[in-house]
Parts: sequence; C-alpha cells; structure tokens
Amino acid sequence: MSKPENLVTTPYDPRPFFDEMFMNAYSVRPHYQSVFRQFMSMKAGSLNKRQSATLKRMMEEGITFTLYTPDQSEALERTLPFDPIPRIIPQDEWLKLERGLKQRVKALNLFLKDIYHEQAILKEGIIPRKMVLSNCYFRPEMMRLSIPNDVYVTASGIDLIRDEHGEYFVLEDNLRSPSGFSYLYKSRSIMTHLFPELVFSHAIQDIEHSLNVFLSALRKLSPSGKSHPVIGLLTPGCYNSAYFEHTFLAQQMGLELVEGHDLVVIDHKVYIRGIKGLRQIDVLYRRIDDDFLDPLAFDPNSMLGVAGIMNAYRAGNINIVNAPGTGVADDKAIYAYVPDMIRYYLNEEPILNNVPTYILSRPDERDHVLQHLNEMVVKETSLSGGYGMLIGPSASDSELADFRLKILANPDRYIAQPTIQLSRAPVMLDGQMAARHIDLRAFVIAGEDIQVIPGGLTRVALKEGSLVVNSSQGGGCKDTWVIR
Amino acid sequence: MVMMGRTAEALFWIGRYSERTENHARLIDVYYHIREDREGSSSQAWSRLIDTIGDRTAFTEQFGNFTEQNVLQYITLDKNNANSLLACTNHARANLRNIREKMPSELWDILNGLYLWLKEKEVRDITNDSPHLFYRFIRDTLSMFQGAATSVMPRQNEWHFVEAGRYLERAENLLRLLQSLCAEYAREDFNSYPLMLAVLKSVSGYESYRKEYADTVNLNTIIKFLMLNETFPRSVSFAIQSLERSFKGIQLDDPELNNAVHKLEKLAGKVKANLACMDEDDMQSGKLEATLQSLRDSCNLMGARMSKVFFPSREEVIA
Repeated sequence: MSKPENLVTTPYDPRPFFDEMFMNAYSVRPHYQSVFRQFMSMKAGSLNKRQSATLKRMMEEGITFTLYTPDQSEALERTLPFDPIPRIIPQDEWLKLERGLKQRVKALNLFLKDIYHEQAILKEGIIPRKMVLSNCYFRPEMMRLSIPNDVYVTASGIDLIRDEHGEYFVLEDNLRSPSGFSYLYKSRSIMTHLFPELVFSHAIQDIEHSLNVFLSALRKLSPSGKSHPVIGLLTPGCYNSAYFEHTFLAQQMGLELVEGHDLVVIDHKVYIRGIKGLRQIDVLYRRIDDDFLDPLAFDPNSMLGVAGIMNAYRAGNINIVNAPGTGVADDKAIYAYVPDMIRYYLNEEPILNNVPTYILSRPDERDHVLQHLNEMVVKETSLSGGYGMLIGPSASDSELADFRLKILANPDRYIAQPTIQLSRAPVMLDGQMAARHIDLRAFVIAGEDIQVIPGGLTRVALKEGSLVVNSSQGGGCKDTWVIR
Repeated sequence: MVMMGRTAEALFWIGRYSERTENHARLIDVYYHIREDREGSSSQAWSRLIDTIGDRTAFTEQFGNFTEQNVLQYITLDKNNANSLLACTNHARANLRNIREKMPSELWDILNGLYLWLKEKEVRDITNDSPHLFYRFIRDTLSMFQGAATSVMPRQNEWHFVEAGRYLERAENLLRLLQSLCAEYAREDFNSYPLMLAVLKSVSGYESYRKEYADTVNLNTIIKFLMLNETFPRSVSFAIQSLERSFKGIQLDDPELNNAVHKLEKLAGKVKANLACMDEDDMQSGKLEATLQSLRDSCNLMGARMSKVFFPSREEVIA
C-alpha cells in the first residue's frame, strides 16, 4: 500500500501581527472560512503539482520581469512568484478603501493643477514653497498648461499597508508610471485556470471590466475629441523590466505599442511611422520617465523619447498620460502633506490615513528621529523600488551610523516613519501555511470620473520576517478578491 | 492598427527563423541516424552535419575534434553559433517578443515554451534519451507553431510577411541541401543510397517521391523532384511560388513601397519562370552546380531587397 498523502496542515498563531486569515491560532476569519476549508482538504502533493504547473504556465506565457546585473551577460528573466492562497477583502471594508482612494486621487489631481497654475496651496503656506519648486520632479514646462479634463494622473498605484490592529494606511502614492496592472489580471486568470473550485465558489468582483474603464479613460482624454482617437503606449522597449506589462496592456486594450523611434513630430503633431505611411496619434500612455520623454525638452541624451513631443503637447495636439511633472506629487516628502491637501481642496477629512511621517528638515522632528533611529524606517525622498532605505530595527550599528551622517548632511532628502507591524497573510510553502508580510497596491483610474479596480495587487515579502515586498527585491504576489 | 517598419522586419524574421529551426531539426534528426552506414570513421558523418548546417572553420576553432558530443553541442545548443537550434529559436522568439501584442498569444506561448525547454538542455539530454525523440519534439513543436499561425492569423500584411520569410528561408535551405548533396556526389566513392534517402526524408519527401517515382532512387530524379515539383510543399518550386504569392498579398498605400514590393513579386515570378523552363539538361552535373548557385543568388537578392525596402536604418529626427 502506498503511503497516504499528507494533507495541508495547521494554521499558525498570528500574534503579534494582524493576519488576514487567522483571528488567532484557533479561529479563521468568517470571510476566509471557505477558502481555508478548501485548502485544508487538498493533498500536499497535488497542491505542489498545481503550483509548479502555475509556474511553468507563467514562464511559457512570459509573465516575467527582467533583472539586469552588470556582471551577467544574459539578463535574468524571472516570474513574479505567485502564491495560490488569495487575499480576500470583504465588501464593506473595500467600500471604505474605495472611497478613500478616490478622495486621495481627486485631491492629488487638484494639487497638481494648482501647483502648475495658481499655486494657492503654496501661497497659503500649507506646503512649503521650496519643497515643491525645488523638487527634482517639478516641471516648469507644465506651468499654465491646461490639459484635458484637468486629469494629471490617469493611472495611479496607491500602496496600502495594515498595522497590527488591521487599520489601513497609505504607504506611498505612485503617480508617474506605476506598474503591476498585468500581474493583477494575470493572477486572476491563473487562479481561474488552476484553482477553479476556489474561484467559482465565491462571488468575486470582476476585474476584466476595469480594462474597459481604463481604455475609455484614455479615449476621453484625447484632446481632439475624436470618437476613435489613436492611442499609443510608449515603452522603452523589450529590455525594460516591465516590458511584459506593456505588451499585455497594449494587447488587451488594443493600443499601439510604440517606442520613441516609431514616432515622429511634424508641425507639432505626433505621428506613428507605419509602412502604410504616417498616422497621427492622439493620446500617448507613456511608460517612460519624464526625463526621457523628449530629448529637446529634457535629457538631450535620451534615445527613448520623441524629439518635439513636448511642443506638440503644449500645442494641444496630443495628450500625454500620465502628464509630465506628476512626480512632484508622489515624492516621499510631499506625501506627508496629502492629508492637508485633502482638507484644503475638498474640505473633507481624509478617509485613509498616512503613516505618521517625520520631515527631517524640521529640527525637532529630526532630533526625535535621530534619537530613535533604530525604530524608524528612513527613506530617501526621490528613490523608489525599495532602494535607499534604512529599516531601523534590522539595521546594523554601522548602517545606523551611516544613515545618521547622511541625514545630517542632507536632511531635506530624507523622511522617516515609525516601523509599522505590517500585517501578514498565509502563503503556501511545501504543503504548509506560513505567515508572510504583505501590502496592497490599489490601482485608480481617472478619466471623466475616478474608478478603482476592485482588489488590486497584493504583494508578498517571501522571505520570512522580511518587510520588503518589491518585485525587484524578491517579492511575490497573490490574487486579491473583493467578495460580496 | 498601424504596421511599423520594425514590425514588418520582426514578422519576416519570425518566419525565417522558425523555418530554419524546423529545417535544421529535421536534417539533424535524419543525418544523425545514417552515420553508421558506410563511413570508415564516424567523424566523417559528424563533419558532414557541420558542413550542411554550420561553418566548419568556426566549429574547428571552437571545438577541435568532430566528436558526437562536440557536434551536437555546436549545432543544437551552442549560444555562439548563430545557426544552432537554440540560437535560431531564440532569434525567432526575440522577434516575436518585440511585437507580441500584435500576434496571437498561442504563437508566443508555443515558441517561448520551446525556447525555455531547449535552454535547459545539455548534450547528454539529447543522447541519453533517443536523439530522434529530441529532434522530433522540436520539429513537432514548430509544426504546431505553424499550424496555430495558419489557423488563427488574419490573412493581412502580418501573415504575408511571416509567410514571405518562411518561404524565402525554405527555398534557401533546400538549395543549400541540394548543393551539399552535389558536393558529396562529386566525391569518387559516392554510392550512398542511404544519403539520398536521408535527403528525401529530411524534407519529409520520401513518401511523396515514392508516389511519383515508384522504383527509381537516383540523384537526378531526387534533384528534379526537390527542385521542380509544383505540388510538394518542400520543393524549391513550391517555395518560390508561395513567396511570390506572399509578396502579392502585401497591401500598401505608400506608392514607393508598393512599387518596391511589386518589384520583389516580379523577381520571384522570374525565378519561378526560370524553374518552370528547366529541363533534364539543367539538372545534369556540371551544369547543376551553376543552376543551384544562381538560384541561391536570386534568393539572397530578394532577402537583401526586402531589408532595404522595409527595414531602413533609423531616420533623422523631425520636430
């Protein structure tokens, strides 16, 4: 007789963290009951088989991102590790998140319009003028430019975390060209194919529809008002780490996937060079940074952009999405002021809280942070992707000393936040459920109105105890369900 | 959708490289299995494989001896050999990757899957299992690739560019195969029935040939069959006909480009007419070598014109 296969085993004690699935070592949260039961009844062997089938499928489909290291001749193509236990958000919880996200993006758009026009918020002294005008993402080229529907940020990715009480906090606003959309859709399709019994036994809010929302938002933002504007997605090309996502979005929404040299500007109009001749393009969803957008306006060495596109933009012949200069609003120092923006522009109290943030150019806050450096997370304001960070509790003495000097030399460049006990969720490892820290990147689409894609992308720090969820730093992802 | 020059270029090369990979896999499979037949040393068989689909000088510089291990590594898995199966698959895949949003995703999944599979292989994976199964898997996967393309791609410019690449490549490969057969034949001791069969089998032409020429297997009829048969898909004549049709299928508005494609179509038509006029006499040794070479020159010319018309180097910046 063959040995009976092991079943998936045992929950864990979630303390001292907030856990998405387990209330304590003995009880599962009500909205997770059914998923928990289904996983517990699976055989470890068949689960492993399905997990490796998932991985193979992802490789074949090329759902990968590319890592380049200078010492390697061939780039490393990696799939984003995918965990099959979904993250589930109950409807009422989601509705609050959704309202909070819409509110936030609305305020951020108003802020961008304001600082590129009247600058009222600076005149009122709510945000220090210097912090905005000397910010490296501030684009004087955008001053006084009016853009369709006043939408500066069409696609944003807002990162949310939960503390030990399960309270949500906004960790970061990504307003330039946030990535992760493709993983959101692919996670759902992988789950549907490999764990249909889980997916079909729940009433999950549909996300496919949000691609239409995205496309109509892009269409609505065409400056020409044509009923069928030509829309392109500008990619740096196949060596970019997010290239899969660019092809995915272009294919799903029927956008023209273009690189800079496919476009040409003639008489302040932008055209795609085709073998059938030139075709004018109305909206460009760009996935390259401002700096590379136009060698005539910004970095003259850039090969990625299109010479003259900024003039075409200023002439109102093309819309660039997200607008150039949005980076000034997702800067880590400006982040501290978003709740004030919400109060100022909307006259509302923020629905979603910020993580308490210390501005290190303020002497008293700086002193406090330097005294408690080993309890803080310190971030360099202009860097993203988990780079240039100090995580106090896990840093060595020399790292702490190092950062102390850096902060003292350039206090403007850093912010600090108390370490939050990031919430956790179970992941499946060799037939066992193990707890890992997670966050949530929620995607907000602004066109005529503002909509939030139900759920978003749950990122998982796969290393035990690690708080870093970025894909470039070894994070994975989960399918995220909003259930009724 | 707008088709860009680089898209056309990628499509053309997808056709070429997928065809080349398939042809080479077929050849290796068949040639691998005839090596025991007549040679005194097996290195002769290995060197023949290199001559047919590789470069002898490049091989000896890199590997030295004609051993099974070295040869299979070079023609199948070597990253530095631009014509190894791995490299060809990778080229086809890289081109597809550049335009994957424009092509049916089935095609990407098949080709990417093949590449990932092949990338992990070592020579011992080929020899430990049956080499025949190894190469047949590659061949079958590429048949699936072509089958998927045939069944799901709209017959628009995209399709015609891939097809043009495929048939130009096929014509060239066949001509090269026939040239290598002639070279073998020129050797005094040539009497290889297995080699002649191998050539037919490597293009899956043995059965069709048998139907046409019930009892004769000789070099002249084989060459005639592979050159002139208008119904067998792996004959030079069929490939050129198809190439002409692909050029004809490309629809362009730009008068200059349209004119250029029309010229290509005429060139293919001319080669087709030349083939149709050939007789036994042109197939005789002595004259055959020149015939094959002039056909290859025409193919090279069409390839070069294609890149000149559609894949010009980057134009100047206009703003």
